[in-house]
Amino acid sequence: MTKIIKSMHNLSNLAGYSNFHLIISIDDFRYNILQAQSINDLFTQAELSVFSPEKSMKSLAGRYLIKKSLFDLLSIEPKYTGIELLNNALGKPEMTFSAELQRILDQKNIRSVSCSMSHSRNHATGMVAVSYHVISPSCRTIIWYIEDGIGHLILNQPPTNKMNKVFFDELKGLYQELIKSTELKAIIISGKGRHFSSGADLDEMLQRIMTDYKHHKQPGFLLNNSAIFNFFEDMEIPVIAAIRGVCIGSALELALSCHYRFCEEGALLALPESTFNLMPGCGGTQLLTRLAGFSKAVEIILEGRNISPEEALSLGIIDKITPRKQVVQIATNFAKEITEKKDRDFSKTKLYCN
Amino acid sequence: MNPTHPYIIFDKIDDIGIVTLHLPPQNFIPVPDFIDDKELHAWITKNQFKGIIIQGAGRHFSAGADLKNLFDLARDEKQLISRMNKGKDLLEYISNLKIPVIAAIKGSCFGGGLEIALACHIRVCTENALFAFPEVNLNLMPGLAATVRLPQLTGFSNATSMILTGDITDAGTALKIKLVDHISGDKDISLYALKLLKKMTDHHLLEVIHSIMTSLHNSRKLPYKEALAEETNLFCKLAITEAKKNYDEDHKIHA
Repeated sequence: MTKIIKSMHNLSNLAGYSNFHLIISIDDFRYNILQAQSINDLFTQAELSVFSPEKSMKSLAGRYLIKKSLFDLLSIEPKYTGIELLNNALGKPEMTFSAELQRILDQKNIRSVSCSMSHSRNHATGMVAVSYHVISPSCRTIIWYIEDGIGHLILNQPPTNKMNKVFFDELKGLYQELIKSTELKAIIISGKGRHFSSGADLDEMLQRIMTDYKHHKQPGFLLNNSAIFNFFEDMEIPVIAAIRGVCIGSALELALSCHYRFCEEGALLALPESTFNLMPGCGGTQLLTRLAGFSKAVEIILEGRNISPEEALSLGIIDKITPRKQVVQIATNFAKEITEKKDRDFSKTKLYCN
Repeated sequence: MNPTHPYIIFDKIDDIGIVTLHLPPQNFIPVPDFIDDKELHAWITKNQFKGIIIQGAGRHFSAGADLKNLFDLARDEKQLISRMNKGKDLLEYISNLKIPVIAAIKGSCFGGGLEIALACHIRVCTENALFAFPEVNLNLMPGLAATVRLPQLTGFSNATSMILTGDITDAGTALKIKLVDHISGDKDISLYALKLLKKMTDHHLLEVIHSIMTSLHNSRKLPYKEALAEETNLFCKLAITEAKKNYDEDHKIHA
């Protein structure tokens, strides 16, 4: 049983633990797993270890790859921080490493970007294992990190955070390789910058459909996209969409697939597909009917008009309106509040609700 | 316009079909199967309508069933059952239409009249509209599926009190319990309904409207996951058409 306890932010708290695991992703979610007795040993071992799946790259390649992983982990300019971090990390006592990492995180005002950490307690031997998940460096369109047991999934293609092929592929990978197998209390989905997302990349999508069509293939990727949103709906922990700015088309469908929707003042919701001779394709017609009722769904989807947060709240489409720039914080507090009680079994609640 | 049912007027404005129950002042509904569904179907298909409005002539939508006719029918049980079922089939046909149907309600909308309105997809009414199921006062009950459709709209408790008390519900309350979707300050409720339908359908291809309505209907009929898969299928058909159109246009430019 693996349980999330801390974020990278609190790495120094791990100094007392032994038996560490480091999981480093190389590309497309291939992982190398290393084990060590102390965090310092782990990183020394990591540097000397062979990192490629082909087991052909020796220490130089290994050094490069761990640096690269850490750069991505910190999501900042690699030149300075990554090297400094590594130089300070390797060959020093574990407390120094933790403190150094903490210092850099603080200095850059970073709160555990793209990193999650879990520990599991082996009752048979009393050993504590700590494992790191370093998200694939190839995950460009999404930021994923865990803080206090709550997973934060941020659409990361500002300003529009459009949902293109890369995004859907990465979201699927992230879910299947990481989110599904991590024990979390809740998930909060939001967009980087001023908007949640402007939805699917229409031109790209039509091009892909045409390519599939010319090869006499059914555009299977659309079913795939729909299924990805469905993952979140089927999760047995609360999933909250924290919406600010624009949230239209597929983006609203993603939000509707969540269990709660919190909206900032001035946000803009819509399913405008019908206005360009299409229709919602990732659950919109089903999910809106459930929340707002058949009549309102007919009207909103056929008109394709914009819905203000106030109207959305009165129709039951969203659950709360928050002041500007506070939606993620309020959603986080809410998630903490409803998951406060330990051992609360959400799977049962979900079962009864359905 | 309507040979077998002279009290029903079929009319049209652009792409919108308008069905008027023309028995003023009360617009009592003479028989359960008040429109011939085959004629209705032929009319809608021929005209390629994008939406339908159902309304009553004069000051009221409809005050309900014509009881004298109903009791006449009730003398023969088999005949009554068969006519009631035909009436239900008609409302079910309207409810399943793949184009939006709006009930434009003014004045009284009681009993069978309200059951017709419930079969529509959207209900709009004037500020002075009144709603009730008075059947219980006559030791009867709603017979055209209101006991099934009303709880879906208003929730079980509101539906129970409305049908068991037979009390009149005003427009404001009706909006609150989601029995109606819009109240218009304007007296001309048909115009309001027409504007709403135009907004919903004006710039859309009929195929798009059909696909969306089909998927919305699926939400009430199919298991959730099946409905989701079907939605994507419908989307793909539209998207392929659209992608082809874009492709052809590009080629025209380059040719």
